[in-house]
Amino acid sequence: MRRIKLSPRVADFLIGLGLFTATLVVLVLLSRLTAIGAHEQKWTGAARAVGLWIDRAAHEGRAVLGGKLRDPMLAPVQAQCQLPALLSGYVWEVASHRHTWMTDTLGLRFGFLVFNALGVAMLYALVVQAWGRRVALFACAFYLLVPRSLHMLVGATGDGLAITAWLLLAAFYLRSLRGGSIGWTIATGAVFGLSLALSTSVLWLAGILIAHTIWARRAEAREAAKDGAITVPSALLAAIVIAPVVFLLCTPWLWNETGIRMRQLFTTSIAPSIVPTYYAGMLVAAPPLPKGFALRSVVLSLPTITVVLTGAGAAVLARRWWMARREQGEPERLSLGALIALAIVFAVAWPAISPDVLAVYPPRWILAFPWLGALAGVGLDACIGMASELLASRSARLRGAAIVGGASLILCVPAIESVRSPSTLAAAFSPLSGGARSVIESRTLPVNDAAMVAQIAPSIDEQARPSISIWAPDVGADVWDVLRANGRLRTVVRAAGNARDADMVLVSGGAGGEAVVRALLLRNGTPPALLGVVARDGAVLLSLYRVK
Amino acid sequence: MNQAGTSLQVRRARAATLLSVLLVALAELIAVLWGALRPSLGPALSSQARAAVAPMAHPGDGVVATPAAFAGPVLGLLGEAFPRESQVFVEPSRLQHAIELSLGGSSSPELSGWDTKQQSRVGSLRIRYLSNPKPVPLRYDLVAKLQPGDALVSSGPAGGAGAPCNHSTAAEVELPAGLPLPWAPRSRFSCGNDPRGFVGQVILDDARGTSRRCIWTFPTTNAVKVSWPKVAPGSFVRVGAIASRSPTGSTRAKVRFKANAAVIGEREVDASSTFDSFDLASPMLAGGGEITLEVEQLTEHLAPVCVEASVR
Repeated sequence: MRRIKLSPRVADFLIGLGLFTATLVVLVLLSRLTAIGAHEQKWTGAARAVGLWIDRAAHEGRAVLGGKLRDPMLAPVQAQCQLPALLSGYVWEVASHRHTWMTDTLGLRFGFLVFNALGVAMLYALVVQAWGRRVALFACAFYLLVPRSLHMLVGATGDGLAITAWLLLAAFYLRSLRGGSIGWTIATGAVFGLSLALSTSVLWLAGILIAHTIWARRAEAREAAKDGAITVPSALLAAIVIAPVVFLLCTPWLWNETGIRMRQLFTTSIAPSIVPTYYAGMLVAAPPLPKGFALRSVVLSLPTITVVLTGAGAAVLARRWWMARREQGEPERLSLGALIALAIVFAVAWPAISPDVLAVYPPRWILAFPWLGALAGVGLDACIGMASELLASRSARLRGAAIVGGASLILCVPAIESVRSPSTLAAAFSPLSGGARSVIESRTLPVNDAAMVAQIAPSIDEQARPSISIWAPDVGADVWDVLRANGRLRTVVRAAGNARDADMVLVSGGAGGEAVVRALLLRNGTPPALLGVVARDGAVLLSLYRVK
Repeated sequence: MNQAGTSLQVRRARAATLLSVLLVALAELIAVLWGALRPSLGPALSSQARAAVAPMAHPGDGVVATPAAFAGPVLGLLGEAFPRESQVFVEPSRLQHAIELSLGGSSSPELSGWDTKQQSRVGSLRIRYLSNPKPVPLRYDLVAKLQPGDALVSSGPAGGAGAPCNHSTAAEVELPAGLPLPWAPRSRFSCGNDPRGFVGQVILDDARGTSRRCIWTFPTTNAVKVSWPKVAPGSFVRVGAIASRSPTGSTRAKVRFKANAAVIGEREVDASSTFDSFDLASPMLAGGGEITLEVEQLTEHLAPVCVEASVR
């Protein structure tokens, strides 16, 4: 047997690769159990169009590559999420369309799953640079083991890609900030373009990175100012030159009418917007917007143990910062800490303090998850450090067993919460924060999620009627088509105008759904017959009734 | 010595921190497992539930589903097999017997003190036939008698005669989102053009989730008045009243009862009110005659007020 000593860089690369592969396998397995949601339809539809275009290109050659045939294919998504849509389209064409290696659903999502898994590897790459392997692995675990996080990552969503894009750029930026070869600077510029092609929300991160650079290079900037000069980060210069080229190369939609389409893309990406959304049981469609939306969503959605460890991690970093002020130590650890703080402030605190005219509602609080995961990793690492010190006088075996046991308990809680029921992960508030009941009461249940509605589909098919009308006020009308297109539903479903004239009603749990059942009982003299329910932790999330 | 003391304090603080973190993890694990073990409800129980309820059902008996938050799915198990002549969502003191359908086996607080006569279990559903040890007989149900031949409805300034609200049995009308009722019932007294401004029998739930058949009113700047001219004799009126939450702010309303033009009692209600009943006793009720309900909004935040009332 030969022993091969790996350099730390190679070892970290291999660990990152292992994380990517393991995450991809988990996402693929969970994705097979989760129906395509209506909110994914745009992206999976684009992937299908790309796949058909590739199929046509294979038969008809280069003629179809022209703008006239390319544009209709990309029109549904335009310049958003093109890379994963192109990858998904190719995988679907080969593995689902030409062969039967993958189901349609998996083929259409595959590109998105690849980039979502890449996000986990990037989080590792980001954290390991400053805080070591143990913290980096914990950070990945705490990011992935959040029910809402996992639910988002098993599908084709813009939020998952935005997180990957942020982490990708942040990892390269932090590496280039440490200095070294010009290669990292050029690579950071190129990765900025690539990230932009994944999600235009990276523009916000660019602002955060500029603020971070000013903080990290403040001494240098002060020196330069004394000489009447200014300092400009080399990565920024590289980004300005290289990023647009890479972005354009990765975004075929912009190859025609480049100027007009670029302007449209960037103005819509950063423009304030309000989408009517429930907050604490009330529908908010206009200012004043609830300032606590992001913080409340984060606290309710993260497992409570993760929230506690995040607080512990923040306290550890604050202490390190305080110590470093006096001792001038640990600049890299602090640099990552500052970047995390800025990212969390942007995702959670900015929606609370921004004026309504600049607000994006609902805020994209989910972007905070990986950064909070990193803080929780610091918190757990600190706990392990404390346990080691407290048990220093005990035998190594006892110490090891106690630490592994405690860490396993802490990690298994979010793990169990996260993988227990893939179809209801969207409704998985932390049980100590009220659980699924709290989701129902606050009306934050995304019932347009076909993953959840798919659980009801067998009850509809059991009625053995070729066509029925359903009144489902909280479910998008297109969900039924999505389920049929993906083979989850046989019956043709028509949307009914009201509950009284419908064959069936599908209502969400809570007061609204109960009111409909009571009104039908009063009208007909008998309650509508229960045909199916989707439940989590004893709470009814959706229920299907037969009216006639 | 000081250094040793500080070190000990630091060790204790660290031990306490670690213990707290582990306790939170343990508490969350228990909560997760407890949630996973919660009873679930499914249509598979339907046929067994129907078979169990059928021999217990008698005309006039009540049907109570508990917990209140699951009333819809639990009653939905019975569907068209629901006993037609039974009473559901009524104040239970009037009942002699009731069938309780309980998901998970919790007892309905409304039926506390009742005697269990029969009991069976269907999966996670417990079905009990209960007997009321002290029923309070019903003399006149003001909610059930909200009919054109039995009641007169008007709307106008408080204390005045007001304009009559006409009864109709036209089609149901969808109500705006945000109200606790999806549509206005077919049989209703319409007061003006606002679809919310009707008076009719509905079923609403209170702040605790308890549902009741009650009289929907939507007083605006005007008070709503409902009169029953031919009420049977009794000794008191048992009342439960709630005001729904208004999206614009807190709602308060005054509910006033008169017997033969004399005020026998009034009560303020708001969004925190429940259907817990209160009795308005008066010698004016002994000979029967006219009972009048007046509902008056006390704030500018408009919301429906629902009143359950019966003469005993």
